[in-house]
Amino acid sequence: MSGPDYPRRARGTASRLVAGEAVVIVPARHEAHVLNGPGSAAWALMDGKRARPEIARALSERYRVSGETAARDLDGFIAKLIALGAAEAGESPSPSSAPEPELPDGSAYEPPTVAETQALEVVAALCSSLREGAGGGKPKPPGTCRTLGACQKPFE
Amino acid sequence: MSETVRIDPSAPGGRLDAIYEAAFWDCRPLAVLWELTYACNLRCRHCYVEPEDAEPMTLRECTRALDELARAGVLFLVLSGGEPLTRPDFVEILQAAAEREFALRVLTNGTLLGEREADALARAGTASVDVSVYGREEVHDRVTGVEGSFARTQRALELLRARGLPITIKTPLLKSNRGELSCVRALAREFGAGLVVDVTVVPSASGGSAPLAEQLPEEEMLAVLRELSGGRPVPGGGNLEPLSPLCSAGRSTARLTPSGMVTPCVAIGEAAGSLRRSSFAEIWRSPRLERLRAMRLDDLPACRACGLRGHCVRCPGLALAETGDIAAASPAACRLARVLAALSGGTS
Repeated sequence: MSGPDYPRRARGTASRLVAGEAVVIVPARHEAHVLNGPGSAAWALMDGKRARPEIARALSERYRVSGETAARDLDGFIAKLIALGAAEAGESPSPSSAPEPELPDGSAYEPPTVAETQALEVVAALCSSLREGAGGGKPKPPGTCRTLGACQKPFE
Repeated sequence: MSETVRIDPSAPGGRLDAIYEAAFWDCRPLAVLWELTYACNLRCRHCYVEPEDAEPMTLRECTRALDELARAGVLFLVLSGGEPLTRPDFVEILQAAAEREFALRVLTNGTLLGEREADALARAGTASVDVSVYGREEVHDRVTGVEGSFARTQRALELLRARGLPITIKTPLLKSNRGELSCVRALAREFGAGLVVDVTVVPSASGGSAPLAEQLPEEEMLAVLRELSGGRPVPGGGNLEPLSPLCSAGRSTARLTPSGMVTPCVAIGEAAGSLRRSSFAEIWRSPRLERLRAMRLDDLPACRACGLRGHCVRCPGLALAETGDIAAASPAACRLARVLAALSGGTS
């Protein structure tokens, strides 16, 4: 690509910042990803309105790393997200009226990355309790309510 | 509110499970089941839904509700009913939800699903379309009370499959469809769909017992579950632990009714507030939800010393619907615990 691109979330991708980490769901690939802190910040800024250098600059300022490091790490991160089907590179800024994104609390810098990927298992077990251990030690949240399906972990 | 729990990425089940757990302990709303309407074009024998007096939210109100839920941090949104596709603005609501980056799951009987709706579901990146199927054609139509419903549902499955949408077929174990599970399993295989078997029939929303007439006797339930588990012993795994809250309702999950009332779940009808009068964030802090969150096993006199606790997956809402008392023993849970105990090799 000759000019700067405008990275954005791929259509159909779901995401939310939960407990300081971005959970990104790519239904088409049936995968759920969790991003690390800097990755979550970068993801929040990937709204299609900001050019890639602008996002790198924001990361550099937020985490007090050199612009060169931030830009290099961001390139690798975006390439990874594109390969996962979670993001795409727009050639022009999106005409979005979305509010300013919520950024996670600052943490020590590490390259933005996809910290974990899990299969998004839509198929609920016959009886989720069949898979739950009886626990012990720390109390576990009740995993599921099979009865009405409403309070199951919705995609497990 | 409960204590703040840090995410432990080394926890069994990984980071995502740890995030779910953190949401549970911190009481952050993560998943909402939204009944868009109580209207339905079928008359299923076991249906628990009852109409609301208030008018359903308009499209404008629905859009505002989506903004509120997204702002509150809700990620998983289940669109349900009634039959959600009876709403003429279903596609618009779906699109508005997708624009707000919810992970979407839609529960439908499929009979009103055409090319336009299937395209919209695909465009929205719907993570699962759950379609109810009760058995072969004549059985299905008998359960739904509408002739031709099976054919229309099957057509919906074809439209969904053609677009590569993830399908989950849901089927309850009922007297009216006993013996049909193998047909439903075959259908699920044919469409590459997941299968969810629901073993519990619940009373109607106001506690009416009519749907319970469809409940399978305990020994039949045991036989079906034994067949499904392939004869393997099923490990125990109750959800009643001494220090643990009773369930995720009102902690990390909630339900939204067509008129905008927020309740902890579909089985606990007492509203914590209305989106027509308050923000979701305000409602989430309501004393009614706080009281529910504070309940523990010690608050359940009939359950705390029960020998079947290790197999019991008691639902507080179901106990409420069955007995009128959220803290009472739930006959359905007791029955299922006996069955699960038998499956695990324990006593029945």
